[in-house]
Amino acid sequence: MGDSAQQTVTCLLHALRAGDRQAFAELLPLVYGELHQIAERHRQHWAGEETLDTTALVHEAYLRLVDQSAPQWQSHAHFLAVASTAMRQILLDYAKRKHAAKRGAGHQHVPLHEIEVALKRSGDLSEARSEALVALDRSLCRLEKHDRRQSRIVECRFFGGMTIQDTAEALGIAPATVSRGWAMAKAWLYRDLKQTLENSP
Amino acid sequence: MSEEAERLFERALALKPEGRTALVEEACRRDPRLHQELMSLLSQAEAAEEFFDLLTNSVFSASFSGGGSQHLPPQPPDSELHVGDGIGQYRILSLIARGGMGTVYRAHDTRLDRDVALKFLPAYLAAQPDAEEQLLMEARAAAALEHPNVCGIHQIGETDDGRLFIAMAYYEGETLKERLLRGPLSLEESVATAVQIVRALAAAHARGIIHRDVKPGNVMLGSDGTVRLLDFGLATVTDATLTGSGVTPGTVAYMSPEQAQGDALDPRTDLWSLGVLLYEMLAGVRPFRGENAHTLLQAILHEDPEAISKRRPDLPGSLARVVERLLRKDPATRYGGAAEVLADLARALPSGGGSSQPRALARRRAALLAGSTILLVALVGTVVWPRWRGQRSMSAVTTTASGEPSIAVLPLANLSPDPQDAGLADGMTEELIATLATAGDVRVIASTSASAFKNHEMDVRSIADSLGVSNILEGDLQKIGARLRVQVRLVDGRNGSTRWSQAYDREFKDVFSVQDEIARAVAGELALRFDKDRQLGRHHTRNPAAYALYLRGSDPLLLRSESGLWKALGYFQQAIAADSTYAAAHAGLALVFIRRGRTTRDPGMPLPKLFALADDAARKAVALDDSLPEAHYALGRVLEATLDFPSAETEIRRALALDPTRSIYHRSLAYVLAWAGRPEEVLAEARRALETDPLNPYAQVEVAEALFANHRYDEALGQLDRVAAIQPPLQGFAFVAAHCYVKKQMWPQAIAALRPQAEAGDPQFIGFLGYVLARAGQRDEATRILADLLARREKTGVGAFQVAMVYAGLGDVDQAFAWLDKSVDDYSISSGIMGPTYEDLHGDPRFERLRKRLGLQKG
Repeated sequence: MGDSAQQTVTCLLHALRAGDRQAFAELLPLVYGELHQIAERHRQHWAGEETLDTTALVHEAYLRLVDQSAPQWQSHAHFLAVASTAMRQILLDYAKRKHAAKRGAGHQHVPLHEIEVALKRSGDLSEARSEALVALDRSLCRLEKHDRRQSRIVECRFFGGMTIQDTAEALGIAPATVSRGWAMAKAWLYRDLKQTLENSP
Repeated sequence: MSEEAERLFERALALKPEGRTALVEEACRRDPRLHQELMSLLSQAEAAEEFFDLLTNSVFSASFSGGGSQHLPPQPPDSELHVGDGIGQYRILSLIARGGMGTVYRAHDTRLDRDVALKFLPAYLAAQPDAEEQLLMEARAAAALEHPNVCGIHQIGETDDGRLFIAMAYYEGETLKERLLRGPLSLEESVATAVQIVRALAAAHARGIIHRDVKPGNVMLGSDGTVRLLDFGLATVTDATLTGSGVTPGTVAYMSPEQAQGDALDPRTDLWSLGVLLYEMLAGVRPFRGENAHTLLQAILHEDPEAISKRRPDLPGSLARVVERLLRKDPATRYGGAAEVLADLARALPSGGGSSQPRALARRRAALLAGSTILLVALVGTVVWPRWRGQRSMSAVTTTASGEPSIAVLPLANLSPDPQDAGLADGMTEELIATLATAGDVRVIASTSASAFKNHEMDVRSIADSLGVSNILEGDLQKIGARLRVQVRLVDGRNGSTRWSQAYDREFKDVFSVQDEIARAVAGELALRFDKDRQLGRHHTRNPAAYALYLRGSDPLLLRSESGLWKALGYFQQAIAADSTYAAAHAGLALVFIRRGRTTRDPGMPLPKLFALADDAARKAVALDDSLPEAHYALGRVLEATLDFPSAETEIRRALALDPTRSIYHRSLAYVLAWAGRPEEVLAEARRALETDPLNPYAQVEVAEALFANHRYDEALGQLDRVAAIQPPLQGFAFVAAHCYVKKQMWPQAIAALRPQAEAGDPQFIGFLGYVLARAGQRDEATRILADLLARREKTGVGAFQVAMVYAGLGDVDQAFAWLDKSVDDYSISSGIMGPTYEDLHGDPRFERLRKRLGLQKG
């Protein structure tokens, strides 16, 4: 990542902070690319003990992408928000790959309670996790239509591992609104997951 | 969904189910659809919460790999496991113990290639849904509790047949239960063991975790001398079973009266159990005994134990009093918190000499201060003593306690609800110290504050006594939104009476004036004088938001983890965004970059780039405020990291000239001087670092290291022994000790010192272990280590210096020098190369070339 690219990201963050929604769309692929690379490298490094510390990944991407010679802005939270969306995609990519490999074409939904049981178990996490992530992503798309703000809150809190405070700053809402929206969105998503996973063929 | 609905949802969520229905009905009388929707969502809320916790845990902290999953053979409940059986990634090696609470096996983790302890809960517990849920929750809490005296939890798992198990760290050693079978422990052993248990408890209690099952079987005495508390979090499950009949007296014996009666428990229940344990260690018998569980419970509830001094006449009265106070039936009259117990245990610690002459006492107290680092660190943030002209020794400090005004400023307790503000109280404490230090002719002694113990309850008088100060300033701080509430109290250390107290309730933007007012009031009370026109305090920004961000970034806890470093980075950058002329924030940024370079070698983030960023930030700090010691210190650290030692020395000396009270500056100078091969000066600086911060464990190690550099190996080892008697060994302990053993040609001891950390994967230890093995004649293993280091070098960034060390041990001097050259290129070279260990290399002309390359003239 050269210096000019860093300046680009810094400028885009500036624009994002100023309310330019186009900036988000332009930032996303840049942040996604970088996060993806870091995540891949971590995966190779930690053969065996592969933990995904989202917070560390995101901050590392921040350092790489943002022009450190001119940090004269308060775009940290905004960066985190873009990174959360990118993280959602990255996780989903991994999950889908696994999902496809496991189940092939004749896909059948696994009921939610089976996923829950599997998540509590140690041995075979990855499958249940992929299953849950893919389903969660679909539910989140539905929530987005229903309540866009809540879906953004979920992206920041769950996928980006952001604090209430940072989420509030990035979305331009009060911290109390974030925590209320987060609580309700979880209930909404869970209900949706249950319905879609139990009722579909 | 409207915000109104979200508000209603939140309010309902806080209620019990009946209340929820009533509330929603009342609020949605005119909106049946909303009513239905809310009730439907509320019915999912708890399950949703749990599901997201589960998913978060499994996605963001568990394995992220796509390895093939292993299916377990089905097992009947409570079936025996046999050597060689597989449970997921674990292979059973042997049975460690079997008890009422389950069975523990030693197993090998094939994925991570390490040994673990697997504890299986009995099937009857695993079958209880509540127990399972509780177990998961508490194990998570315990897993979050990273502490040297707490047994680490790796994983909670479940076999295919539904048996829960816990994968824990495996330690060589024996449990206290096994040890007690051989009779009572010595005084020193008992206290050292108790101290380490209390430290574990203090850390747990500070995080709201109560152990509830402190007993000898849960105390692991490691063969390395470290005591570890096991089975955090299982205790709640244990409680659930106590109402049943399957309780063994062994467990009941350590229960507190409140536990025995089924009352609500607080941390003091653990202190009781500790009291029983301490009694048993000292006396060899338990304080309460009974034929069966019933009579035993009666004894716990109603009988006074036999005075321990009868069983153990050699016991100092102070220690007997600790036991007595731990075993008070009413928790309100017991110790208030673990920190208090620590302070008393430290004072009760037997100290060699029997002389009662004042000078001997002062010396002994100085030794105690030096030796009991951790506990005093726990209690005391920073101490300001009036300067004692011409004398610099610890005994001088204690002498001043008799007449001169002296003050210790305890870390302000943080009561702010937002965890991000946790560093604020520490920051203000530091500012108060710095401001007080500018008053009159005073000597400032700064010490590390251990944040785990910040919100302690304590006996102010005993702290003043331990430190030999006549005054204590204590208080608390609370930031709620834009409000700032500070309460402070100046206490006379001799009688515990309040000399002055004040509560402030202001806007946070007034933080600087609050600090100044407190400092002025305290100075006035102690008859210290400020220079008339002196600008109070050291805060170099007038922007309270920037200041708050800077304090957040300065939280020392952040330096301990990778993600913490990035958070600190974010805070400093935001502080700079709020006030771009904030020199201290630029200096903070520089240190974060350096730290990152030291802890992780990451091919994607090359060191030259990190160092360039650090250099940039440090130079900005100096340019912004040339009189700021932090700025020069940061620049010095950058120069040292980039191997420009002469310039580093200049900058660090500059920082020391501006603020001679900072222990860490002295340590840094010692480090730079070690490069220059000036061991006498290194020792002098290390001693100064310890004087300015007598409670700091790193300063202790630095002194040992300096003694080693001066060929005083036995003294160095003695220094380490003294500290290790009460303090869990820092990594540096083993490293310095190993160097001493090498010079004394005590090969097995050197190898034993290095092995644990080397096996944990620390490349510094691996490289040195390779050196030692080669010198000890175990060339095969050394060669294996060498091959392993070389193989891992590309991927994980093993430093060239580690490779050079093994070659040096093997006697391949050509390769050693070739790799030393490379170690300058990759910045991995360590000042150890200048020390006595590698003296064989020092005469070689290539060594002289290396020194020249590093800009070091022959001293």
